[in-house]
Amino acid sequence: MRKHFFGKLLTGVLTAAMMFTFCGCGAADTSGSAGSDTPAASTADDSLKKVKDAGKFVLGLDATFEPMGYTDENDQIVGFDIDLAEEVCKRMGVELVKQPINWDTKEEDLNGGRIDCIWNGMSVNASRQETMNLSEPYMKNAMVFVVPADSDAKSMDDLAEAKIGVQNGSSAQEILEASAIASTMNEQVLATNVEALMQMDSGLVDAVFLDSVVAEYKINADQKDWKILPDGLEEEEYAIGFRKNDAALRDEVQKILGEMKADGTVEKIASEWFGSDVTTIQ
Amino acid sequence: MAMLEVKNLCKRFGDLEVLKDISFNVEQGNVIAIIGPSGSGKSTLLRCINQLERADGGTVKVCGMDMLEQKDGKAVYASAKTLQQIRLKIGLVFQNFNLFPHFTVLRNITEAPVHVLKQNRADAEKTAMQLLEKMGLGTKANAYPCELSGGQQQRVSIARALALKPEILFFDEPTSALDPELTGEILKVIKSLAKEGMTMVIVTHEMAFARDVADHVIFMEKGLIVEEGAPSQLFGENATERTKQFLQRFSEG
Amino acid sequence: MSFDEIGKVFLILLKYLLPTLKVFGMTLLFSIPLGMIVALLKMCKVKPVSWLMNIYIMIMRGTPLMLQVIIAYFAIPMLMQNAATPAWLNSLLSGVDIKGDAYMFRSVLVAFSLNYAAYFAEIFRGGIESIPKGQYEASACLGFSRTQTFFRIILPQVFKRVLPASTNEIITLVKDTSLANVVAYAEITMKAKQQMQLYSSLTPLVLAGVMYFVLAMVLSLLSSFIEKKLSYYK
Repeated sequence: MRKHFFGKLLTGVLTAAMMFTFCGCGAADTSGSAGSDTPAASTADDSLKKVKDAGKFVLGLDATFEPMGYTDENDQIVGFDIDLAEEVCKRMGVELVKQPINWDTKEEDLNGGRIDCIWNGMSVNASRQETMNLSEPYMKNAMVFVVPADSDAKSMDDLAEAKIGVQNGSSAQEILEASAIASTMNEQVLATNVEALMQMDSGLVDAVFLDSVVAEYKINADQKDWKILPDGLEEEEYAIGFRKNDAALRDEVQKILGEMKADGTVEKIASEWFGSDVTTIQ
Repeated sequence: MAMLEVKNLCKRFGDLEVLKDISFNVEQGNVIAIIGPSGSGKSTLLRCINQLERADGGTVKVCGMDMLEQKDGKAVYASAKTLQQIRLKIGLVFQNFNLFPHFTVLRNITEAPVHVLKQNRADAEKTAMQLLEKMGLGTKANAYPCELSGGQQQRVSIARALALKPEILFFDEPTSALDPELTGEILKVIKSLAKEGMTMVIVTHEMAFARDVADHVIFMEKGLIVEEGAPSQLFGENATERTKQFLQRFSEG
Repeated sequence: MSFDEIGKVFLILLKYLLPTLKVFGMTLLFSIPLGMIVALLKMCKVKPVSWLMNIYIMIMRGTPLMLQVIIAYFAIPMLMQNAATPAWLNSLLSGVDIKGDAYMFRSVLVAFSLNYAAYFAEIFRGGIESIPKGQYEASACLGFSRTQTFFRIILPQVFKRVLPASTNEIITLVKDTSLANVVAYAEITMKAKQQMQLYSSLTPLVLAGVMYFVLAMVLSLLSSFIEKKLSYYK
């Protein structure tokens, strides 16, 4: 996993640098304290106050996840997540700052304090639950196979021996590699979903395994001649990621989302992007 | 008055003793020729006097200023300020010219007067032009060194040394890097300088020239002065066996 | 992609030419003088200084620039979060606005400048060492100080000698600026990748390639012009 690689690498380099420079600290307390997984313990949770004082809520996104959060043809960052976040910020009385990040190092950006949350159609999984303070899931997403419309494949089982494209570092990749069916397929790991779909168009891969949200949006928005196989692998959910210690901020955002659901704002925004309220916000 | 007094000068490169106990004087207006086989220490001697090498022992006095003294059995150099003053009293002409390739001929000559002696550029250029005329290179002032022949380059380098108005001018095999047909023009320049009374020390392999122009000839071998005296003596019948042998071998080839 | 779409992407990329050129220009501004200093320190007769420069050059040339950019970018935030960081350092770092746009540019600039200084240092060292000893000796005999010798006699000749190798590095730098996108610094490559996602097409990347090519062409023409100007001496 790249995220673990970067985390460990940075921790290692910085720890080494610090032991080298400040050997006065003693080696005893470097073992448990270094690294992104154990941020400095704060006495009180002032995360919400900090955001309100600064008047800015910095949302981290990789800005290429259409339709959740992406850069449009006018170089503006837009998307369903962005519209939701804009409304949340309006109600918090702060400005939304959309900060593009490298998805591979999102945990480091979050824990390092460069951003206040990761909000970009991020799937819930065990390792993220452990390293972040996640919001309640706000949307369901299935992992599906997309094939060209003229493909013979009718279901997942027809894809044995096929070459499957999948985005590197994505949940789709984790799920595919963990599934029983993976052993019968040839996995082709690519940098992005779009590259995978482009490769499928040029016949380099037979199918692409990705989020149903993206697949449906792509097929409709781009008028592509693709079809989604009816049976996918496990369903998953999207959530917003906060720093482990930032409970106050996370709870405030969660509360506002609940209010927005209640007064119909969520349905209005969701309809603009998906035609109906596809969210699972309570 | 002695312009240069060298006493008991020693220089070692590791275990190799290149100069062993060299002593000689140069009087004002004298032209001294230093001859000897290669590896005898002639060039090292010039380089020590011109501060390009550090001597290990002995004393050197230039124009009355102590450059190197012997104190408590150790060789001690003068202060940086005195060394700089001495440096400006003497000039060195190199075997392979060492002109500055990125400067024009004129700039090669004026650079030191302008930036070391702080002369104004117009004066320095006037002096430089006079020197170039004297060297027969008046038309080459704006040429670059790479556009000149070896003989012309060496004449520029002599002019460059003269621009600082040195009291003594040293030549380190000034014609060795030149084609035989070009050596004549350099020797002619040195001769005319001798006529003007310039004090000069010349390391050379041109025996006929040494005999012709020098007041005093020093024959060196293995870091020692084997024989010295008037040219008539060293090149005559009364020279030592070793000197005769060297000159004999030299004329053979 | 339609002609209109390509035009649109082109205009966006053109807008981000400036951040690309900013990394390029500022890196040159810092890395060339720094490279000269490192080159001189490496030739220093005090052995520990020379070794230190050797280690610096080895690390900078021996690890990928991409990695260096990531480390430069995350170093301060990670130190601030780390409990083992001493208080004095923490208070020093707390003045850094890591959420600001300037922080991203500066961390990219630090990594690029340190990396390129190492390459320039080796080029300059080679150039300085290639100047014949006779040039130093002639300067000394004419009474020039060491500083005068270096700046008036040696450096101008070094400049001419290192020009071809430096041009190589400078052209590489134009293309290396694209590595800044690993920390999501908004420049041509980053924008081209975003637009590529949007249109499901490679065309934006090709457009970015054309821009880098034009920049590299301009630089190599400029360099051969200067080389010609300097050809008056050998």
